[in-house]
Amino acid sequence: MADTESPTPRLLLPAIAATALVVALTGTVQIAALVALGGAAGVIAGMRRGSRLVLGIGVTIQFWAVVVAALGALRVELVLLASMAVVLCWDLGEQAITVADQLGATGTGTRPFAVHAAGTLLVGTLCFGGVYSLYQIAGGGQPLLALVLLLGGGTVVLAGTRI
Amino acid sequence: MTTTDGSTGETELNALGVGRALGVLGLLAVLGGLVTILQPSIASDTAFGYGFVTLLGVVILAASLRYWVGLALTTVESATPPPVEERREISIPGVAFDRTLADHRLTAVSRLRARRDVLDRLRSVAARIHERDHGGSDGQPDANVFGEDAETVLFDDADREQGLTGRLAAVRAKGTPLQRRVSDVVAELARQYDGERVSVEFDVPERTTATRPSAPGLRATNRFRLLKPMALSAVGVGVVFGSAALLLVGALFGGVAVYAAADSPPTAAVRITRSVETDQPAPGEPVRVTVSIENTGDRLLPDLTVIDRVPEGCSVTAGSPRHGTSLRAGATATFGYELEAVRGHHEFGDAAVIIRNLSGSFERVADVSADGDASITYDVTAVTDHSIPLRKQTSRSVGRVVTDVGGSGIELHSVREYRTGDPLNRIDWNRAAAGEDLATLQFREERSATVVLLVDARVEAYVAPEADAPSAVDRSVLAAAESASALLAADDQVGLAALSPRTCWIAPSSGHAHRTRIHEQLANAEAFDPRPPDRSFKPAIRLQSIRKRLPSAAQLLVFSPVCDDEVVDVVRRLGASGHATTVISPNATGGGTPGRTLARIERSLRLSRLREAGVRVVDWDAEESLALSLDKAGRRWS
Repeated sequence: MADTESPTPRLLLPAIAATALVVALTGTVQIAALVALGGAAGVIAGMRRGSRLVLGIGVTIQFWAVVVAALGALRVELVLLASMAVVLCWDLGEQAITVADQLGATGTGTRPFAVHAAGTLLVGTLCFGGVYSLYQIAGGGQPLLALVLLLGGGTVVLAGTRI
Repeated sequence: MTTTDGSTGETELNALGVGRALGVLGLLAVLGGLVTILQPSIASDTAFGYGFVTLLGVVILAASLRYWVGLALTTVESATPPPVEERREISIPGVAFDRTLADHRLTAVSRLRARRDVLDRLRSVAARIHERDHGGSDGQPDANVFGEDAETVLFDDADREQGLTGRLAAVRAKGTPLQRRVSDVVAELARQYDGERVSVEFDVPERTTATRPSAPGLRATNRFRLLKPMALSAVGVGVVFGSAALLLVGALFGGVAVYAAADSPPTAAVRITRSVETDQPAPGEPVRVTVSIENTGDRLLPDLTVIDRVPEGCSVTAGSPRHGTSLRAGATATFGYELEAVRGHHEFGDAAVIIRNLSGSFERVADVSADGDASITYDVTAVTDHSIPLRKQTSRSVGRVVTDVGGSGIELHSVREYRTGDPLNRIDWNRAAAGEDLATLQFREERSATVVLLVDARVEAYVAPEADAPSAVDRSVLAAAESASALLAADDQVGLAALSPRTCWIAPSSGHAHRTRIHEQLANAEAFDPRPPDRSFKPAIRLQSIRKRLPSAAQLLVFSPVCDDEVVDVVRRLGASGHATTVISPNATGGGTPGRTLARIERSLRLSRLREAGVRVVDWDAEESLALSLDKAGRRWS
């Protein structure tokens, strides 16, 4: 993938804030925080170079940092928040690169960027709310059939999505 | 690697979303799960071992692996907008020569050919300088440059950089040995030609690669493709290691993925209106362009990018022709920028619009024609107060060109014997008072000239000393407009022709209406377009037609940068047909690199050849005004 014009600092900040949030939230599990830090370096490098490939690698590393943190018994709320930050980091980073690509250094693109960010944030918050509520309601001690159906069904829906 | 770039059309519309069969199956399973949570009694009759769940987790992990691999083979790319800021097809004399020297990818055969071309050019320049300095035409190059065999001087690796210090210096020096040697030879040629040492350093401007803009249509951006393997991996690892948090992470990612898949594609319901501050600016004057975009649809356009297609040949000097915004239904956004050109007629293209939906999963590229102003024509009717020095080839009508013919006029020409019928006021009464015979004073007759302005607008004339400087054709056209005004004001008859594959001819005439006609042609005619023609000039055909049309008494004012030999030949042939010719040559050559220095010397030598052929030449530097150059040249002629 060809490197292109790098986004302006104003558009860089939200994604960098999201990547920093991942590092901060996974902070209590040291090894996860270290992996997340490596991912953050990738994210920042990708954004500065305007390269989606490098950004994607950074985000992937951060995702696995969240997985490691979850296995390291990080609190569920923090794991969910960190994973949402990972999604936001990719989404906002990619959007910033797109704006830089299409509008160049002199074009103005803050407004559509803000609208897009608000949309993703809203959807992310709703998903977070829904998932967390389900977790609170289900609580534990649920029948195994429910778990199998939810997992199997969710996987099939996900496999069926074309995104 | 597969890319998602390129046009995909409306069929892509169905590419996103959820597969029907899998979706229904999955949803049923999820609903069953939710019902089981709410009514645990349903599950009491069903027995599952925990081993089954672990197996399910492994299957999910295996599925995620497939998507990770798919992800590694896919790139996400946004639509490529058209490049609109800087599009020029003007070349710099000598850069082609520098590029030949710099090309490292040449094959052995083409390298030999390139070396031979370089050598031939250097040899021919050396021979001409020698000819000029020594007056002879024996064609032997100067001993200082090519005393030994030229090929050895330039291309033998053994003869220079000898010894350790020499080799170290060679390592430190910029460029290949060939580039350094050619630079040295060109510097030596320049020293011989100018009489003073000039610095010649090898430097090649970077070639800008043209990006191809995305074709109009709807395309999926694939930007959320990352979520799928992430969600499946989270669920798989969560199941295998029994982590509830990771299952929830999977669900969270799944939710966002479904949002992206369900988001509908955007429509391109926009109206664009462009207004130009002034559509007839003065040459080189910046023009303010204001563009407004209205959302004429009934839905929010969350991410809208408008790129106004700036006319080719114009450059953007302030602001940006690109604007990103989001518009509610019926809302309007406005932005502006400034563009500038030297002269000519420029037409705006359709504005490119890129619209993304809220999630950014779809991107629609469209070309929207703008209402309002669609073109700018630079005015060339500049007022001028300088006179154009003309040759003495005139018509029979009275004008202002002082001829060598004796008659009525102001400047004394000669005195001859009185003939019956000579007017009394021209009799030399002083001579009569002294008792001599009657004599008649003769004055130089002042007649009008018929001048055809011949503007060189071949591809070869579209040259400029710098990438952002006005081209020689721009300067020629403006100078021709000024000259036409000045000549018509002096009662001369003026015609116009183009030395170009695109024909332009206005027969010589005079008067205000004629001046307007000439200015209109210079501003608008296709022959003088700011973009070079795509065909080459064929002298055998075009020159014949110009010669046939030229009135026999017409003298020529040729505007050309003289950056190739063809124009020299054309001018000499026109001169040979009996037309007194003056060449006004806007200088488009520079210096610094071997190629540019060589181009400058070659041009000067060509001008010398023209002068030798009896053509008057005005060498017009980029920094000088035309009036000053004409004045300087006029002093030399008188």
